Amino acid sequence: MAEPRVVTKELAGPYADLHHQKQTANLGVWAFLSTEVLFFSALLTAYSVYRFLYPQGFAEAGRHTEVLLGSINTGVLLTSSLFMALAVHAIETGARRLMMLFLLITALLGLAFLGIKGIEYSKEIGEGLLPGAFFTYSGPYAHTVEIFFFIYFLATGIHALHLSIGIGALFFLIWRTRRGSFTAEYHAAVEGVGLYWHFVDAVWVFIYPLIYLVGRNT
Amino acid sequence: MSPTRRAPRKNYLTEDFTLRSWFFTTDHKRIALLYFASITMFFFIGGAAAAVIRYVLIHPDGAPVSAEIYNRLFTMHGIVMVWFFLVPAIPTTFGNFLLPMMIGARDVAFPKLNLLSWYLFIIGGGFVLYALFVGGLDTGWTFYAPYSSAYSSGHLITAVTGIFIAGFSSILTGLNFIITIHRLRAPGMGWYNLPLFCWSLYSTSVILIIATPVLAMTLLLLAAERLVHVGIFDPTLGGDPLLFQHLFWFYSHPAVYIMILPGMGVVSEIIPCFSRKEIFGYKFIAWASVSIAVVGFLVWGHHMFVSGMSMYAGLMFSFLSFAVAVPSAIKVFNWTATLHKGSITFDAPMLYALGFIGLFTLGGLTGLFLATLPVDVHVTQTYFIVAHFHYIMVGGMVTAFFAALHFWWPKITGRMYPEMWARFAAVLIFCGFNLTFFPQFILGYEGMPRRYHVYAEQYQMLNVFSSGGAGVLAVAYVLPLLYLGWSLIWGRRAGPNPWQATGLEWQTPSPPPKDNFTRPPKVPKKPYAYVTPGAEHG
Amino acid sequence: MSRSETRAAERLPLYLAWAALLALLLLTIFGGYLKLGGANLFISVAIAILKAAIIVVIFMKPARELRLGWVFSLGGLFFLLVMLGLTGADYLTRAQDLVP
Repeated sequence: MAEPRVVTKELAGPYADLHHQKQTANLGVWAFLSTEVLFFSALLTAYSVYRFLYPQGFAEAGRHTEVLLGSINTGVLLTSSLFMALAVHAIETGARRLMMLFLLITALLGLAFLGIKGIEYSKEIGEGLLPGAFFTYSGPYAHTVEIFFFIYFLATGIHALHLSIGIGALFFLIWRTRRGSFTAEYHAAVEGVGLYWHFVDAVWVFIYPLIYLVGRNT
Repeated sequence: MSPTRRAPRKNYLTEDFTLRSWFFTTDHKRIALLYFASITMFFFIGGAAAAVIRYVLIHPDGAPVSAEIYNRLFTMHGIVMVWFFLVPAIPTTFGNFLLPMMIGARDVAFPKLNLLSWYLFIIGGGFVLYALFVGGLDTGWTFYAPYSSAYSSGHLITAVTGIFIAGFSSILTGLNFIITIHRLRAPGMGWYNLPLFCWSLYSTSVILIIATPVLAMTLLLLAAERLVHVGIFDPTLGGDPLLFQHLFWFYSHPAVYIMILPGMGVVSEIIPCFSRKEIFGYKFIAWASVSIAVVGFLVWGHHMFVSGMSMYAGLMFSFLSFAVAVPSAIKVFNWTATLHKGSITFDAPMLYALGFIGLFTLGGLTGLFLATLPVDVHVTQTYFIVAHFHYIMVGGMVTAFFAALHFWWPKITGRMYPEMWARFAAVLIFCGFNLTFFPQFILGYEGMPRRYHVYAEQYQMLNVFSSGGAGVLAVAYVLPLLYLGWSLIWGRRAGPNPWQATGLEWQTPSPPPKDNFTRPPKVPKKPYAYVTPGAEHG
Repeated sequence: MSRSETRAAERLPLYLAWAALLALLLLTIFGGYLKLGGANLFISVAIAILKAAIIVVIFMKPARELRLGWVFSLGGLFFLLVMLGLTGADYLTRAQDLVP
């Protein structure tokens, strides 16, 4: 591969210098992540309320989740976070090509997560667990199971949407790296995407036990 | 008569006249004007709905419209006024315009996000206007489930989509302001040198970024329930309608502080200037803003006292609602103390600011009535509530908006408005406002329910007074449109600091140049270093 | 230390964090199947909090540039607790209302 062009960075806004710009961008990402915390919080509250009101129904519903696939997926996502962190470390030492490799692995692991999730969804839809017109689960806890799976599809669906955006951002970073945009001195976008990626991972870490481990203790 | 000044040769308005330079601008001042035009339009749309409502309410039998139409009218009024006027008004106009200048910066932290924010606002507004004009919805702006999710026949999904999109606009604005205040202050501008308007914008922004995402999820759940027919809130399917109310009010109560905090910030700027006196208790007012923002998140249940919520939760929310009144009271005391022994002049901004203090105090005190559980059980869902929040929103926030409009008009446009007309309009607004809304306290106490287009005969007289007041208000709100518009062409040109106010925004020409300052501004050691003429030294 | 040794040392915490996260994952799965009644939820949430903390502190490093990062990262959590807490105050006390 030819030596990437070194691009002199112009300031992208009313900042004193690149360092100031980087700090400002970093803080901006953290502020954005706290809005995301509240976004998921509302869903977590809904989940908590219904788990509290309908413990048996939730336990029954939870037993119908694909715990093996969900657990593997959790491992996949945690590993992707490792590679994301390695990518940031790589660019901090100026290792552009290594960073691109790590970013690619992160993205591939993310795609693997989505693939496994897709398999899970198709299994669950096949079993008639998709809330709405195609919901065929019956029994005394049917309404509660439908509520559980509604929250499940919404939470994991929104999570998957966030993950997809993250994967897109990773490919964007890879493309920018080929054009020489990042250096050891300045790589704010890589750090920013990293923060976002780890956050999406952390959200999954909470979703996992609440979805997959309900009702496993009976 | 002072000599006519020529405008500075190049300022942010004359920089470039192309449409492209306006619709692709990243200049916070131009974005502020884009917002200004937008929210003014929404204000008059919401106001038109109010005018029809007040007309209908002259008649006890609600003759002019059917119940269905009436429901759609007050829903439209609420949605447009809350999300497309009150929430954005001061932050996106005066906040956007002034914040960077007040801290000595060239722009906000993320200028492109700022422009995106405006486009999201317009797109969201487009969805909502479309929903309203193809028939609207009848749920009230509060969208209570399961009526809204299972039974209402209106255009709910379109409307909540618009609000959802506009919510992102709010979040981006809040995020921008927070980072701007943290990272772009000029050297020497410490937190305690900041004008109190900045403290209130910061507090507002915290609420914007924390509360709005919750609304987003709540509306998503509501729309999903409507589409999929699951029992998230629908009790026939196992859901709990109160969950909707908890989630909705978790946003919507702090939202009212989004609406009022910037207004309080404006008053904190104007009172010292027109009393020629340093603000009393600067740090108390600053931290009171922060306290209102934080404690404001703890009180949402006071909208749910009669909903079926647990009585014990009700007690907690009642207590917390009393607590949240304290920082507001501190501000009112401090403004009053600032006025005491000040050298007061009654220019239009000051008239509005004084009106704010009186009307907000009345509205706020009636809030304490409502925080008192047993009283609330009696007056909830009556016109007492309607009067309470209109005293704060219209008597408070809209008044503060007009105060800001007149105070910073010279800075933004480089022109002075005709003072006598402005004072006349201010007094007319004050009178019209009280005539409209004070009778509603009495109506509510006497039992007239809200959101009904028919009412018992005995309430008619007060309703007629109220509608008469609304007529006066309508005229009074059009007046500024006329004389401010007039001033753009024939108004006396303003210098950099026509009010001899402190604050960095007054150290630059009117209108300001594109990068705000022609030379680096001098940060004063203390904000509001006004000296009362004839006061003793020390 | 040579440059590559320094870099390996810098990467070590990342590998250790990853190993700890996977170990905690196995622990939480195992714990989920133990018959502990209400305690299961408590344990799995506690482990989730620990895992999230490892991700935040070691991978995200909030104090990387500014101490303010900590405030921003914890601020959202504070309001999450408020939401859960006060909503819980309603649901947890409903059955005990004096008025039937």
